[in-house]
Amino acid sequence: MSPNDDRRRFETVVAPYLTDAHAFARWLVRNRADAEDVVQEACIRAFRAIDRFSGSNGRAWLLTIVRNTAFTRLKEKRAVTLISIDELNEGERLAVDRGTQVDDSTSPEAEMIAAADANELERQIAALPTDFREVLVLRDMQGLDYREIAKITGAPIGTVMSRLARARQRLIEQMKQKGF
Amino acid sequence: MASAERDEHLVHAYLDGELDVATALMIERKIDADPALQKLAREIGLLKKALSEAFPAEPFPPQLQRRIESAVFVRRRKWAPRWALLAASVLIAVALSGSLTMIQLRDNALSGNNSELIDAHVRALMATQPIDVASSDQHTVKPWFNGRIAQAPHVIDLHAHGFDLVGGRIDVVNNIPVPTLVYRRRQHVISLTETTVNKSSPKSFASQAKNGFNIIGWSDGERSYVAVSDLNAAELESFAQLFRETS
Repeated sequence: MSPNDDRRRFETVVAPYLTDAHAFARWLVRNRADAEDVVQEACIRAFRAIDRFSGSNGRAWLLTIVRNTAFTRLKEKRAVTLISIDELNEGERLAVDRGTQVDDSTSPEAEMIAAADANELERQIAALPTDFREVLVLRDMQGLDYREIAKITGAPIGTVMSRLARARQRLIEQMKQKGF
Repeated sequence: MASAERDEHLVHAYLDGELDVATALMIERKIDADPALQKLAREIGLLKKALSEAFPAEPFPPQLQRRIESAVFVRRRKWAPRWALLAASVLIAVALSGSLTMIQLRDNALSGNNSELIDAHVRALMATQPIDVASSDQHTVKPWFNGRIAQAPHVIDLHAHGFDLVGGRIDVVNNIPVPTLVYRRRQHVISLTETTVNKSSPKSFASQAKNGFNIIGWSDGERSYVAVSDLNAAELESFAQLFRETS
């Protein structure tokens, strides 16, 4: 194990995905300084384990490490409460599930969604429970497929699908209600 | 899952391009026939568009790039002089703690490195093979470390005592590569990591339990050893004693 070989491997496997790692970390920890620490720590972990990485998907591998690092940090800091789907109250869950069937009129709401303000959208995404938010970010901002997301989050594909659907329906619902 | 909910999930998956042809055709037909699903599909499409446009990729911060390079690479490149540091500061503390067994180890000196050894052990267990060289033959395992590491470890066959040598790997402690031998006792894997120490060290055994793993460390004066395993403490100690007596 020569340090140079590891360095080359790091540069091939990890370095191309640092931008993804950084964006994902920012959505998870919601604080720029913490996100940078998470990326740095994840890189150190990735480098230590690099000689055991045998897969072909460096991006999913790095994002998995970023996720674990971020959750460890969140737990340490207790800065953010991790809310799971079970903690949503019944009414909220119903709204999430029923989503768009609540209202039948079409075009004004569609315009509202299309004109969504980035800041308000960001605020709504930040308010999503972590389980929903990570799936939404990985799919709609980072463009990963369901299989990769299942691997990164350790959830079955069916769970990924339902969390993604609920996350989106909740955003759509809130955009319609608040008219942003 | 209710079938209406399932259809809604399928609309999402359809718009994400995740469905096979047959399912995609099935859900297309349903969307055509159902105004509620049409509306859902339209809204999902608009949301996806808004999400993809609202947050353009940010360039990677250059100062973070520099931090990572120095954290990941620079420390590693200087590993040679750190060898002595490791010997002086880290595992020697195991040897320094006076009595024979079950000593309370000082947290500040040891915990970080023991954690790294536990991490390495756990990571290795999660891999398909907990080893980089798989062999029960000490004359195969020992030469494998040549050229990979600046230290030829003692490799001892303890098969007669019920500890089977299954191979070896290289772990990293404080950014320094160190040889680890892997033994097996029934279903329990033992990772035995060796490092050089300062020659004046005492030779006692020191044990600790951490995160459900038992750890035992000792020194023979020239090298110090740390064994990590989920094996019970008594058997792990008899392993340590056998290894030490035989070496």
